[in-house]
Amino acid sequence: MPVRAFSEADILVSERRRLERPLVFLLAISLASFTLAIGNWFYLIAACVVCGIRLSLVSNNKEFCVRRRWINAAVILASALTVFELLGQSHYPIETLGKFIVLIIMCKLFERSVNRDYVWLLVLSMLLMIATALINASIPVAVALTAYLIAGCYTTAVLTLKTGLDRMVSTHLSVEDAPMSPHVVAWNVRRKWPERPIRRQLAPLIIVMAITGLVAFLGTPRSAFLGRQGSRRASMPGSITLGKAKTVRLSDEVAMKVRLDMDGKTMAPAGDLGYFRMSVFTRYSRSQWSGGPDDFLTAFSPAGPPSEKGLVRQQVQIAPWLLNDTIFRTLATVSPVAHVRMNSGGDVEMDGGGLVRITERQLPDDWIKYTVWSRHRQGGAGGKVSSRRAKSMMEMLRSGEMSLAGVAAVFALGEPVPGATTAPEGGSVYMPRRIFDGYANGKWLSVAEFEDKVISVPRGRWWRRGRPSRHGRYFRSSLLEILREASLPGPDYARPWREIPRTWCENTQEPRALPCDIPPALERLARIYCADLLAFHGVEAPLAIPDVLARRLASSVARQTRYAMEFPGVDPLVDPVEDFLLNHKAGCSEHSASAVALMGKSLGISVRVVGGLRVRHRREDAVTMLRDSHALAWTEVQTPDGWELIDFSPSRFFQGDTVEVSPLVAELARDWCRDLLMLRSSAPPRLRGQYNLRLAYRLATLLQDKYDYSLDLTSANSSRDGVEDFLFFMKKGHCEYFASALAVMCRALDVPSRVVGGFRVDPIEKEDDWYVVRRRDAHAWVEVFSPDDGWVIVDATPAGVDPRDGGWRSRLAGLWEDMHTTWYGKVMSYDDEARRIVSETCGKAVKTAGAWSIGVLRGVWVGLVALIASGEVDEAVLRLMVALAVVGGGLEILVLLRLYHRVQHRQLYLRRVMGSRWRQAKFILRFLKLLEGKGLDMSQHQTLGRIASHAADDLGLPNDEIQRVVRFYHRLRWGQHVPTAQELRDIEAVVDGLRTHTSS
Amino acid sequence: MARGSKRSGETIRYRMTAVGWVVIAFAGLVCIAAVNMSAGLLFWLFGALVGSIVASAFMGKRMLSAVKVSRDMPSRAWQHQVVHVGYTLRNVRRRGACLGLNVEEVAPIGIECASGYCVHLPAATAFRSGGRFTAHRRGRIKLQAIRLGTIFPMGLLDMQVVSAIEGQLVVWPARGKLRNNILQFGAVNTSRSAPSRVRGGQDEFFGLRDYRNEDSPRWIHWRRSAQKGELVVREMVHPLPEMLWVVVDTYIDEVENISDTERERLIRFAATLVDAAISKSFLTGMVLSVGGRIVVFPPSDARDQQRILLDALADIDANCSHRLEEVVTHLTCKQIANSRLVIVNMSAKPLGADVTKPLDRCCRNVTVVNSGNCSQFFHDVAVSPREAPCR
Repeated sequence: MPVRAFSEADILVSERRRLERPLVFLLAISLASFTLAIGNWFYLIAACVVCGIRLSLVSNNKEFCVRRRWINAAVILASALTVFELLGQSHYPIETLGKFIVLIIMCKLFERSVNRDYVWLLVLSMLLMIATALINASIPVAVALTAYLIAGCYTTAVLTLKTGLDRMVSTHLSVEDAPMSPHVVAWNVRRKWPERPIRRQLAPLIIVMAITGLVAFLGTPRSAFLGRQGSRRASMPGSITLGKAKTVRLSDEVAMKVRLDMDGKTMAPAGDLGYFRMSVFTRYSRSQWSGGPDDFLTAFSPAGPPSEKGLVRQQVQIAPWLLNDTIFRTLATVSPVAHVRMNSGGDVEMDGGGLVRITERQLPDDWIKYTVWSRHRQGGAGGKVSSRRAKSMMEMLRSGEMSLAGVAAVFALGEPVPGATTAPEGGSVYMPRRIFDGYANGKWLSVAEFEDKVISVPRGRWWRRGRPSRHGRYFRSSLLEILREASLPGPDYARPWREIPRTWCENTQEPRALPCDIPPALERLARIYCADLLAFHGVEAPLAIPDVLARRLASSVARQTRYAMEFPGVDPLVDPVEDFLLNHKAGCSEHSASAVALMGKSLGISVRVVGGLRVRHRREDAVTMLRDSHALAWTEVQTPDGWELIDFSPSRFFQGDTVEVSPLVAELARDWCRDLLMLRSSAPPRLRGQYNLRLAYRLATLLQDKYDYSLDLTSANSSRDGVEDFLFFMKKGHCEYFASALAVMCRALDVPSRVVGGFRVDPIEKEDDWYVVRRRDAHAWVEVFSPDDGWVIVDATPAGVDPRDGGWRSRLAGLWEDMHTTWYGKVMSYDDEARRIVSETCGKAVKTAGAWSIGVLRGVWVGLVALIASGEVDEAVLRLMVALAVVGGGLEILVLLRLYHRVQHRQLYLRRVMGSRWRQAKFILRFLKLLEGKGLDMSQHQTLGRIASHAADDLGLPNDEIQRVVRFYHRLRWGQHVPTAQELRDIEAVVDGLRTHTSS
Repeated sequence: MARGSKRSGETIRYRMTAVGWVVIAFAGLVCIAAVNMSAGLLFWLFGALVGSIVASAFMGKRMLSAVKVSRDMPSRAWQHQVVHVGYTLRNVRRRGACLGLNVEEVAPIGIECASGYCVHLPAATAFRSGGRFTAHRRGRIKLQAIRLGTIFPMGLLDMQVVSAIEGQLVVWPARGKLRNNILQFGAVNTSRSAPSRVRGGQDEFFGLRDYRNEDSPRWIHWRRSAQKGELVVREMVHPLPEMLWVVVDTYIDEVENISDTERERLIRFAATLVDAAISKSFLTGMVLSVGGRIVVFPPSDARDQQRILLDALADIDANCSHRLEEVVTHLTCKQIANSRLVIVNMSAKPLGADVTKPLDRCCRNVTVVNSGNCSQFFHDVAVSPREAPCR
């Protein structure tokens, strides 16, 4: 092995060992932190081996001295490896660059090092620690970073001294032939290596660094950060991102308390009543669920909850931080919600998806209390409108006291409304305004009574003229046109529903066939989308399964495109629908409906485009506000049962939200449900909802059986699609993974589904009548739509192991989890809000302390004045005396401790200097004490030999034995003699013999 | 020995080192990353990095203000030879040690110096650190200040304080080697062996001889007389000292002048000659024109004769008023009788007989050394003079 010894100057002057030891320790910290953060054991072991070898060599004043060309070759190899990894994009760039730094550090450890190399090593290790902090922000990394900074300060201080010493060694004047001898330099520059002073000097440095770091941490405005791949608290996130958090920390922090009752009877949160919804996610792209709530349109009646039986009343106390964590401040409720009332007053509103939002800007610091009334669906059935109420509402509709939208929303839960169509995906009411069947040059021709009117597919040229890019204007103009033609009053979007007449429902008419100019590319694309169906059913497919074909086309279009309200760079020479499908793949509902209709027509099925309004389901006592966003285009396909509505348009409404389905996932879903799919394809449309539910339950059961529940997601690869990674690689995960997999697989099978986040109430943990919901109870599940039952909860997550159950290991694990939770909850999630709270708390504390101090001083002053004036000793003066006594006593204790410390220090010094020989030479003390007790006069200047001779002469003690004691002491003290136990016993016996002789 | 001490009230200057710039770059990088990612740990790291710079400045200021410096060095030195200087660093604080102190001269032109260093200076103690320098030009050099600096603890800031501590150093011309044994050239043993009546002094024991009548009984060597059986007396001698006169021509003739290099070489020759002569117990005198007047240094065996003569050679400046002929006239025949005379002629023109002939009649031997024949008598071993800045 190419090993070289340190030079004489390295040993004598700069004492290189004193630098290399902490430096290698420093490098070991950074290397181990990074490799553990990325979970690469190979790099960790290699780095530890290299550091260990280097450390052992340093201990023997040696170092590696590999030839530079080998080092250069290794660096080139590492660079090539890094470039290969970066091009392959198999890892994050920061991890790849970190690995490159690890390799460089290991190469440099094999190199002969000078001061510049030491600086490079420090710089590289610093970069590595920064990369580690970026990758992971957990407690161990913070501890490692702190240790690194402390060790780095020490190493840098030693390197600073070594640099000066090396300069002294290497400096020589021009008249000198060679530098001075290291011995001379060592004599000129130092007495001994200042190990302890360096440590003492570093203490204030580290304190200042810690204070400034704390100030920067506390004072910098920012939002909360939980790390790119770090841990995340189990809580209610604003969005779900798979593969981001490597671990999920469970927290026992109480999030809310719930009490349920129905018709005066207390209920347990079992079944669907245990699922409290707080967010709905409908869009899935790049491992991330998003979507959020819909428009919050509905305000609840101040009159109170509906007076119907069967409503479940939920009394909820929710922690304010939980609402601060969510973006929209949505309240946790059990769906479907009938009414919400804030106990402390205040307004709430509900969106189309059933999420309830609190509208107060300033949340109270205490628990937020509210009561929710919801319709409990027994056995998963949707809420039904009673016939009596339906009759009354129909009368209200005819008399114009209630809008179609309001009535339709009520009946969307189960009963048909004339003139309106209930969406198959549920919850929405489609009010057709125009029907278009002919298409040419990007324009649809209406077949209804407004034949001269056309609906245009937006073209790029239209926007390039400088028009506002917001597509909302187009919708608004369409809506205004409709309102005008319907002889409705002006564009007052905030008009209450009672002012909108019932004539809205009478505008639909049967279409008639019109010629259609279909681009050839769309026909080819349609055949590709429906290749399996066409191959299975043959030429009769358009007649046998027109709805299936249309749905396939619609789902394919929805999957391949996304919703957009801006169309920059659209080619005006290309058909807009073709441009939408093949090039830009982004558009609005007109684009998608046109694409589905044209492709359907190319396959020979009867499809038409319908323009109108879509209103989400709402309650009968809700205030309806029409908005331009309600304008929509959708598709209808003609089946033997009539015209069936198909709407997979990419929209910001969740029915049409796009979900990226990996081909592997879709294939797996089809493989698991092949038999059910066959049955569904041949089933009548009215049974389709039932089959959808069966498909979802089948998928959920298989997911529970084949995959494990785990909060440890260190094997997650964020470069893959999250669902694909979960299903085919990790095969374990938590509720978000199970829910995501189920929702995506359902979408792959054309089953309408969405991911819902919230809390699942544990029916076991109960305090009085209140069920306690903790942060660890945060959960994600899936809701599948059934036309019969509405949105049905399907939970695919298997039961996990609760770390609170078990022995001391589990308790330790729980304690560790709590530490992590505190770390992330109190430290890493420190943001502007926390900063405001801290500053307010500090301000209050300062004010309180100031007021208290002023009060105390004032009281003392008054007491002193009273003492001087009238000789009275009041309570303030007594307190002052006590305080002075306490301070004086404290100072006294400090002085005593100081004295004690000095004595201890002296004894420690003696022990260190004398070592074990001092303890072994205690016999001489006994010997001298013996002579002194006999009355021998011993002066301080006398040597031991002189004392021994005097003792022999004056006291008549045997000279041989005395000399034996003295010689043994001299051998021990000055001769570096290491006595055996037997020798010590013998000499003790001699001293005892002298004592006996003296006594006799 | 010159000595000075640091005065109070010096300004400490801070300069960012390369490592400091690297740390600032790191801090900026960490700050950008922290702002982009809202990472609290990185904000803490950023603050710690900034704090390290601030703390370095405070600690350096505290250390530099606690140290008092003084300088110990010889008052004379040879040109092109290393002068060892002792810097006494005294920590006046009762608490807190100082580490990594670097002390160096704020050197004038012509001084090349190597700084002193002190690794550890405990509280209320002093440490004597060794520095050294060499002067590349002769003359009187005034040292005005000492620069005390440190980069401890992190090497981020180079903090320096300059203390005005004055000192003076006379740099003698560099010594070379004499060739052809110029001091032995034409030497004659003029010592006489005779008992000296002078007690003490330079009488030396020469030998024993038989007693003569005129001899003092005090001179009898009784022990040897007892052994020999007849009277034997001690014979003492008082050797006459060798006398050397050096005449240095410092006149600068605008027409027949030699280069400064040759002029300095001749001065170094004169210094070498004077030093060698005094070390060989010659009574050495010198005549030259310094400071606009002609100065005659009579031969002496005094202890500081070497310092006086070499100081005069170190102080040689441009002489435009007194020619060699005029200088020589200050020597009387009595003064130079039985002495050797070495004339260092700095003119390109050889000396005429009218100058050398009268001298030759009076003294024992006259040697004229000029730029042409200097190499016959003198080997200049000194490095070429240069003006090196202080390291």
